[in-house]
Amino acid sequence: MTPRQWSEVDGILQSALELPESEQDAWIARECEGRPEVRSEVASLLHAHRAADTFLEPHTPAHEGRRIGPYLLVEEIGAGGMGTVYRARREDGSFQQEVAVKLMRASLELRPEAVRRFLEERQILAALAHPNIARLLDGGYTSEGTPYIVMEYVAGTPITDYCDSNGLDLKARLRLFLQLADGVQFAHQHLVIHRDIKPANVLVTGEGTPKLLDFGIAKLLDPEAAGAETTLRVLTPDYASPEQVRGRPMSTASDVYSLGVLLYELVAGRRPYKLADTPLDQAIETICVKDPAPPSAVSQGVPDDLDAIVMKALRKEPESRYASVREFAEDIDRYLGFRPVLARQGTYRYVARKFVRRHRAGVATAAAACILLAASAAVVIRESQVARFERDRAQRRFNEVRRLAHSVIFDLQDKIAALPGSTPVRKELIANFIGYVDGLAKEAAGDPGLQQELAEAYIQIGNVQGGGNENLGDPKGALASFQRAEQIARALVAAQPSFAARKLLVESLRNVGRIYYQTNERARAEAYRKETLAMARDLRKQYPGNEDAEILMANSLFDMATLTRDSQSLQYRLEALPIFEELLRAKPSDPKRQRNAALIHKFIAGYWLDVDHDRALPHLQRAMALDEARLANDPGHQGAKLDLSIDYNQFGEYYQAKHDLSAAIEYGRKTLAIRRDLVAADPKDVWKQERLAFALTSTANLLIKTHDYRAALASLDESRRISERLGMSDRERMNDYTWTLIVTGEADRAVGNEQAACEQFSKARDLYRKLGYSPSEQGARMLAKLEKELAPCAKR
Amino acid sequence: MPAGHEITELLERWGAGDKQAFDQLMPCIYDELKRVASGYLRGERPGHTLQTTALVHEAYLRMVHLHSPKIDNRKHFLVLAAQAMRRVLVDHARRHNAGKRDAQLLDSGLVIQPNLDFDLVALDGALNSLSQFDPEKERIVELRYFAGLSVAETAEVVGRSPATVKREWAVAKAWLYRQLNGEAPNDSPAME
Repeated sequence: MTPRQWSEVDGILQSALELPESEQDAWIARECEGRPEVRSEVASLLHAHRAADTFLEPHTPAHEGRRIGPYLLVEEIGAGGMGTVYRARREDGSFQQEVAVKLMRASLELRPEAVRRFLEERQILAALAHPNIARLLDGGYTSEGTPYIVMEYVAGTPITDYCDSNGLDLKARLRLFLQLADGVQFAHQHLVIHRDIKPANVLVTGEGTPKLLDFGIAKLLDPEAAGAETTLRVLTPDYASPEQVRGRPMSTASDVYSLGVLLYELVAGRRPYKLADTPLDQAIETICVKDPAPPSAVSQGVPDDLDAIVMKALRKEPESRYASVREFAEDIDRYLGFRPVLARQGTYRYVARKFVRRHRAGVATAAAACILLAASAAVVIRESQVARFERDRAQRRFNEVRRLAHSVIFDLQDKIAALPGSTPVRKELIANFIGYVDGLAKEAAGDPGLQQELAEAYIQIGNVQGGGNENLGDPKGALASFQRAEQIARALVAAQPSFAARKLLVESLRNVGRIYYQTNERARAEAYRKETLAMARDLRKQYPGNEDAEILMANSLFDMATLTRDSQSLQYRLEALPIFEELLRAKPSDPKRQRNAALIHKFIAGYWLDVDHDRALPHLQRAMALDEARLANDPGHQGAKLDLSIDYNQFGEYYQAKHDLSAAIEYGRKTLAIRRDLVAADPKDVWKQERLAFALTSTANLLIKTHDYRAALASLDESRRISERLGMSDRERMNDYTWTLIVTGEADRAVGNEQAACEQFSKARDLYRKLGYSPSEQGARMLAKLEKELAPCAKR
Repeated sequence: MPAGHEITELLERWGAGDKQAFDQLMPCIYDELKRVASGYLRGERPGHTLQTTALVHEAYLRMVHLHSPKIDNRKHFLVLAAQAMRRVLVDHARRHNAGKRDAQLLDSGLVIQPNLDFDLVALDGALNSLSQFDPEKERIVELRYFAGLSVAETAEVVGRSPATVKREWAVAKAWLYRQLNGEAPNDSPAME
């Protein structure tokens, strides 16, 4: 058979297959008249075709013509990441109805819990009866276990195309939009968020009625992604809100945002951002950071009021947008009725924010109290609403607590921690939430998504207890929390070594290691840190360019550097430095990255200050510039103030090395001034007191050199009192205290109080041995110095 | 393995006709698919059956999504992934067949054959024969069967109408079925 014959065979067979089976044989006979060879080939293949029914199609059976429940699938009308949509007919004798059937990809798991949630959500959505919402009619599982949903079939045009092809003017567009908003508002009242509002989901029928498709479907299909949206969905981020592209929990405000994008497009003729060819990471950055040009800048004749309305809906922070779709719609209504719109009076929040900034201390306690109130109120309101859905009460309550815990742990702690005087409030909050999280953990078995969140929550709790920089001074509690996280993370990685799980494990290990380090369990700290660094290296190698992997790597190097000494730790830091600087370059105004970069410079400067002070200068300058920039952005930030004081202190050391003692003492006083303020603002914060003690010793050291022994001894007394009150539970503190003892010994000896001096030195030596440094340049130097100081004591 | 943005670039170059880019991409995609697949195949994700679509999708997201949401790249990727997936499955089937002969290899821990009533290695051979005189059908089979795409998705990737793809697919299936079930015609089409 020749290729030409084959193409004939192919053509005849393809045409035959278009015909009803009963007519195929006759048609082939006619087409192949006089060509027996072609005919026998076509007939043989037709025979094979009839036998090959399910051949090669176990995974994606052709569904057209298939019956699912009472629905007959007529034709495929769309396909997407989540499944395939068919136009279908309901045919059960009594009546005929055209519907759309969405058949999911069969990969959803058929766990009983997932099935139950799917069916429950379906019930809720089915209750959404509104003229502007395509109604969910039915849903279930096919005999193979593939989930499907049945919706009202809407024959219509996407709203943007509809407006353009019908030449609608601005007012007509707004009226159409208001109908749509009414539908969304209705759904919100029924506690359903759309999550995927875009023109393709807003069809306008031949009668000019806009209909929203797929309400709540995103969540229905992937209930576990209720908070963190699936990656598939952000492949088209044009209409997605900042919280959505970041994978944060979505709310009605997210729908307000997407409606804002849609309105922008209807008014200005194009979308606020051009994301079509943008790589996704940049698109996310744009959505989260960049303010779009107002519609009037894009399209002539857009009135200011409408500009203001659209821009208010598009605010980055959900809480700054319209509080509801109703408010949004009412403002458009005001515009249409020539009344002043709220969006242009919308400076209230900004005024309020400024007020808070001016009165931080007072607001702190009030804010914390509000949070607790709001939290319990939310649960109560929620309870009364869920009463309507008796069956899924427990589930909803569970989700609510989970979300609440999440927001308190992740969002509020950070905010409260930055406020002075907040320590007792934080302690109480944390105690409450450990209770919550432990409760959740009991119910979380077998739910990897929740397990992951719980481990994250434990890490956050640990940080607040004793891991982080502004912690509550409870390393024991912190260790327990971090170990819980480690336990969960190890199990998750063993079950499936995904990036997320491995990242979580690295973070857990890192934190456990940090506590061991702080509590001076050196061997354990080292074991943990080595494992952390090795894992971070692997991750970075396997996911090159992945920012999270970069961050883990930089942090792990940082930790190894803290554990080692001298030139070895310098090596780790020099390896970490470019990573930190690169991360900062990617987000130059991110305060955390500013801080990390400044920090690594400070450590490197610290090394050079001991060894070759001129090489320290560029690092000192860079660190101070970064800290000043950060403080300028947020002048009340306690942590940033503390960081800047560390720079001052280092500059003091630098000038000391340059033998410019008056400049050095000047920087010492600046350091002390900041730290005294910080301690006064929050007297219970352990870390700030430690830093004050350190600065006191540091300044005393300089004062000795200018022979001002009285001032030096006063400073040292204060420093020792602080350290002794805090206790020796922490390695760094012990280290600083030892140093204070040595300096005190020097001052005592200088004023001729030899007995006191010897006591201080011998106490320092004991502590120094207890610290258990491995032999190192600095360690050897320090011990040698101590032995020398102690030599005259032994003679006495 | 090249980083995500390099893969994106290679996909673009390959789409523009650069054969070298294909040679660089193929092993990466093959490895990635194998890696992703082995998780499923080892039964590490209970409740999942082997879903080639899911595998291909996961591989795509892992390899390129962060750097390129462009539709063209996705199409290029799917074509490659379909070929790679074919190789993954056929290689695996080959090992599996060998295992039947050699009891030592049986305990490889892999359970793949998802109720196949035909031999994947034979299917691979038949596809090679088909490609000799009708390469478009080979590609459609790869996309439909090995990458698990629907008719509509396949149509988008190969740039034909869904109706055409559906007919081509039916004929390809019939031809392959006949090859595999030993009802071979007197002589197969051959190049002139």
